[in-house]
Amino acid sequence: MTHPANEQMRPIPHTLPFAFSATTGSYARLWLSNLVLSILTLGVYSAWAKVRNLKYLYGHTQVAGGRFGYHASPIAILKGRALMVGLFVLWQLSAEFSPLLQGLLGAGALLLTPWLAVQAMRFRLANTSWSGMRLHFDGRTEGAYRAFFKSWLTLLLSLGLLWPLATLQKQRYLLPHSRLGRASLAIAPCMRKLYLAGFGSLFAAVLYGVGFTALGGVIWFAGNTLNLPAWVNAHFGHGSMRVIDGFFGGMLGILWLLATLAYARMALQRVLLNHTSLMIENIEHRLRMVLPSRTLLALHFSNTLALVFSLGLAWPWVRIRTLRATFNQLTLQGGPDLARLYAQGQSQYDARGDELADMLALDLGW
Amino acid sequence: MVDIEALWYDGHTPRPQTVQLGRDGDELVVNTASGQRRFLLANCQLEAGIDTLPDSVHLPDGGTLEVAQKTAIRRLLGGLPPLQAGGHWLQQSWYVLAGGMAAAATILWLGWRFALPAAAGWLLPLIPVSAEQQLAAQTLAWLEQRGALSASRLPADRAKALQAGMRQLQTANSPYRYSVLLRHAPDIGPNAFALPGGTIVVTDQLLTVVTRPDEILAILAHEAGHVEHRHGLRSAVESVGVLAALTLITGDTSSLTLALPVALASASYSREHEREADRFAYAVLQAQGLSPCLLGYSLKRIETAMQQQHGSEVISSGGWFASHPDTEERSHPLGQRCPPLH
Repeated sequence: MTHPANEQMRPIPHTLPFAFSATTGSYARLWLSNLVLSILTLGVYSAWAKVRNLKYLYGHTQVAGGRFGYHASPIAILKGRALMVGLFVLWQLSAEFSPLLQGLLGAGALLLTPWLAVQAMRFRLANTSWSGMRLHFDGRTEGAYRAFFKSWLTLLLSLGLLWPLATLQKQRYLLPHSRLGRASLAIAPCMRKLYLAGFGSLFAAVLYGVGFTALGGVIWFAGNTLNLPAWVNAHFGHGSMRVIDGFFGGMLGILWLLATLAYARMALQRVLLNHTSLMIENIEHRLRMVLPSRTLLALHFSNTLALVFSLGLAWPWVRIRTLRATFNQLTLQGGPDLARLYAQGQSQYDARGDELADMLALDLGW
Repeated sequence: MVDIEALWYDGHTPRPQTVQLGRDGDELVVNTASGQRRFLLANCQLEAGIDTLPDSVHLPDGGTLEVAQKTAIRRLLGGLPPLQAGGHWLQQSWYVLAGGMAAAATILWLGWRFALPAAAGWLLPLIPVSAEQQLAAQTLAWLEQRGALSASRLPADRAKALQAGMRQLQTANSPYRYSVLLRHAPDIGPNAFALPGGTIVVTDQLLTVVTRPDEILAILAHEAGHVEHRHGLRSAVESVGVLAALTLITGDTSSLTLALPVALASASYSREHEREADRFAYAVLQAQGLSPCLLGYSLKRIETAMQQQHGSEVISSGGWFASHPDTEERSHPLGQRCPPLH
């Protein structure tokens, strides 16, 4: 907590901006070569692809003159992926043959989720650096079980209505244990804002619905003016236009869903980021992300259109401009002196890990 | 001794120091403002910076050197590790990348056309017939629960006639014992479908559209083809395979974007299954001394009935998204021309 005395002694609280310097051209090359090698190696390279991808994106993200870095071993990621794909196939096949096995798998996955979350956070943060210093996660598994069960109970008892509280209950466990030296993260209560973001997303869904319907109408009208349906039916046989119409409608529906989900995710992220602060020796430095909702609306609408009309090839452009919109609007308030941070070095925290996790040393999830 | 400028991060504090790097025998020499430090080259890891990012050298004490002069540092430390060099090489040139994309497209095509069906063919014999029957029972219960199927409203001897027809088609070496169920299904319409394990469901609506017994026999033979080739299981395995492969390759993109390729691949596999069942039906019909044209006739009747009921554009045949091949194509069994249907 900030002391009033301190507040007065600091004349102008200055801000530290984040900077993101990745370019679409070089990211497109990286993405394409990753995709090609992943296919040529039947998916094995995808672990290396993930590492290179994150190395590139982290390396172009800077705050206070220090860049971020990603250092995970692709082998650990590959092991995790092989396990995930195996479980996925088992899950899909059990859906066909044995509801009992699927129920057991589902229950097992649910029971393991808090443990997995701790493992994933440990892996991710231990392999992330800022200015050459490694981050770390010092949460214990018991704490994760408490936090996750509390969060699930909230969801269950309120029939999902208290979802912002459930989200906060998880974040209140995950963020304070995310550390860089003595600095850690904290989250302030923001239930009202989360509800607002939820309603905003519903409103965005309506707007996107109108937008995509209008777009579909224009294309449909243009097609009819050109007498396209008659031509298609004449050349590809009766009924082919009906198939195309159905496909067209389905595609618009998927687009609408993609855009809405992307908007909702980023709107919630914006609230959470704006209520997150970096705690250094009990002084809090708020993160601040200024991104107007209309910018966000336009961003995801144009992203979705670009993805469709390029058949997915615009993905690098979409990814970079979304990250740029996020990071170039992100600042750390209150002018913390990050140069005074001191990290012990990673060895101490590795030694603290329980043996099972060290033996597995997996990266789970994508 | 070469002098390469680098930024030295000690891993404990964020401020880097500018240092000079050199090599002395098998040691890396780091000249800092306050003195000299030496590390065995074998303990230093060179990590290539992607594109314009600087290279890093990870030191054994947890420190990192950030080097912008990439050519110089790579020469000093004896080159990149081979695994890192691969991705780099591909990224350097658009020509190489284009060649790689062509090769990748070929691999995808081969996998979809040959590898996945072969893998499914290898996996299928491992699944016992009893598992298929269990799966069929579940599907049937589910359909009845949803109200899609209800008891037949036709006289009971129609069902008996179907069962007798099926017994006539039963091949000696088949592991399946067929049972034909006649059901009232206005939502499904004139149709017949095979469940894995030997259960074939025929709708009342089909019997009102296709009235000739030999044409019904042709349809039953086609459905028996699905059962014998285990297409129910095959589709399950193939669609899971497509989804798993695409998820593994694309990794971080949303699974919603995979809906299109998965739908295309599944429809293509489904059409292939239909052709296989058709070929089975032709062979069975010929063995019974019947014309293979009967299947095409019955399909034609179903199509005409559907068109009369729902308008001319209801049939989606032959397209990339269609689950069945074009009826026109299926009316030319084994390349022969059938006399037109009256």
